[in-house]
Amino acid sequence: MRNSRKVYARPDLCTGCRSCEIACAVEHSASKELLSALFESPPPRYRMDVQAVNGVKLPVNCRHCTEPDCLFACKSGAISKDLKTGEVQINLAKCVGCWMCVMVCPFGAVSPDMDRAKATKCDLCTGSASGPACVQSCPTKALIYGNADEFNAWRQP
Amino acid sequence: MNYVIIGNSAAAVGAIEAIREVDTESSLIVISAEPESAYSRALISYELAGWLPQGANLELRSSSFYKEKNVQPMLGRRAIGLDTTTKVVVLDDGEAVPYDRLLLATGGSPQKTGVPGEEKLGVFGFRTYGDLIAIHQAVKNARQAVVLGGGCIGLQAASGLHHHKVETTIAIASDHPLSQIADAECGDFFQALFEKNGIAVKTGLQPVEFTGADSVEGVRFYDGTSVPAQIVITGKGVAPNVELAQGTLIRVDRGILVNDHMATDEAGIYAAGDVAVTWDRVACQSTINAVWPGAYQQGRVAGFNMIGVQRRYDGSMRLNAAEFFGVPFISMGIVKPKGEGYETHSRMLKEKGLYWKLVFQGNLLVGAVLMGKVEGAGVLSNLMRKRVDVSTIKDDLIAGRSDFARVLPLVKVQSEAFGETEYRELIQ
Repeated sequence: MRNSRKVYARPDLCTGCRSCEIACAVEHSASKELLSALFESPPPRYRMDVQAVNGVKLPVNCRHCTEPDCLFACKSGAISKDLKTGEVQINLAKCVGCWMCVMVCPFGAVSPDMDRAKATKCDLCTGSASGPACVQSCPTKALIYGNADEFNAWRQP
Repeated sequence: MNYVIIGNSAAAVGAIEAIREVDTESSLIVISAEPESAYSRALISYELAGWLPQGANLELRSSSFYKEKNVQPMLGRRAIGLDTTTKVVVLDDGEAVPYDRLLLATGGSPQKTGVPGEEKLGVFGFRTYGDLIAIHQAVKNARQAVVLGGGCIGLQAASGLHHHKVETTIAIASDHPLSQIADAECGDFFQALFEKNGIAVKTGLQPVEFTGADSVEGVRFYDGTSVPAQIVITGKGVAPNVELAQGTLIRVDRGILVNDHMATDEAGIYAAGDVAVTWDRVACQSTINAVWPGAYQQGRVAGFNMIGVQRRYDGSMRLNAAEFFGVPFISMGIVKPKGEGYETHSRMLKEKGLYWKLVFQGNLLVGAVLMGKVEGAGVLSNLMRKRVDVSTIKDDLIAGRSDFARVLPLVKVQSEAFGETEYRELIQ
């Protein structure tokens, strides 16, 4: 899983503009258009959360953990980890909204979508040819989609 | 090497998946008295209440799971004996299954109520797929039902019966629902919510008899009152299935005692899940934490150790999540502390349907209840599980701010507690 790819952030480059949150919500909307997405009901959910504490801006989303607590806690068998790509995904057709994953994610990166009774988290924009929308949208390039080596090389000063 | 697992739920699946991450070839047998392939017994209440997504079933893994994992399932076969000298598991039809490494993931069974009439038709436990099917049959002809027990299972069972238009009464021995895992304030909220939705809730009531001839016709209570019922569901907790350990060196104290490798005192035999006594990291005592995440993780740790990959189980904690009539509810750790040295903070906003409570023990967060809004609960449970000093962020937590960024300073300072790669990625 050394090559597994996910979204990494550099808080030092993040200005807290939340473009990633908007791009995420639009990508996960029914219309995939900003203007129409604004009026969708239930509203589309973003799975990237820019948290600002004491001047530090920290974009937080699913870490696709090596030992995923959400998967261990999932009662419905909806959560799986691909041992080749490292991706942790929720099969929404099976998710019953029992909130076990919400209860154990150390990062608070799995959210309860009460409108749809589904657990929601970063799915790495599976199926999108251009990769994760948050990464595309970031004006300061504070996010990358890559593997651990690429991330470590990128964050070295 | 022959690996044998007795049981087929969370702990068993955790063990299978761990073993097959390392060894795809060795013989791996799963024995279960239940005939179904691995399913989620925790979701039978969701199924009864019609809450499964359309087209979804209770299968925990895909139908090709055993094939993909190269597992030989022996389902609908009950293990009745264990010979640790010859290393065989004896099945109810006399077949002997040899093992080199054995996992006892035998789970638990609904605790008997001890109430006369318990054997009558129409009195059900609510734990297995078999129970679910039987209750589905019974609701067709039942007008009234009584659910005994006001824990999560009892409340969910009542929601399920109500969904099938059965007039349902929940009878609770204590003075409010969820009394083991929530304060009266929170329990009373749920009581009112159930009553508003047409389910009667009676508290402080002990049953003394299930009346009727062959079939149950009602429940008579200690105070002389009776409630008519053609269905009675007992949700009085779960007793560990320890029978196989008897007559072996495996130590049993209510459940099966294991070390931090999930190994029992008998060579080559492991235990995990609702049958195992583990160290509760938060309550600091040995106990059976019969919860799903613990069962899976214990099975996973047992599985790795069975194949010779050393893994330590870092302990369990109590974790309950549920939703009643659209109101989510999470309760974790110690929420009703007894004795000195605890500090509690709670807040109820009844009109918004919001309640939260935090329990601290010195600089440790040891318990939390979240009702109405459960976002970020995992950040709190992780602080409890890791037993980190939260003194610098205590005020934030009390104010309801528990986003991960608030925890980040702790990750930096108490790095030994946050050794996993995922944390290292987030700090600069």
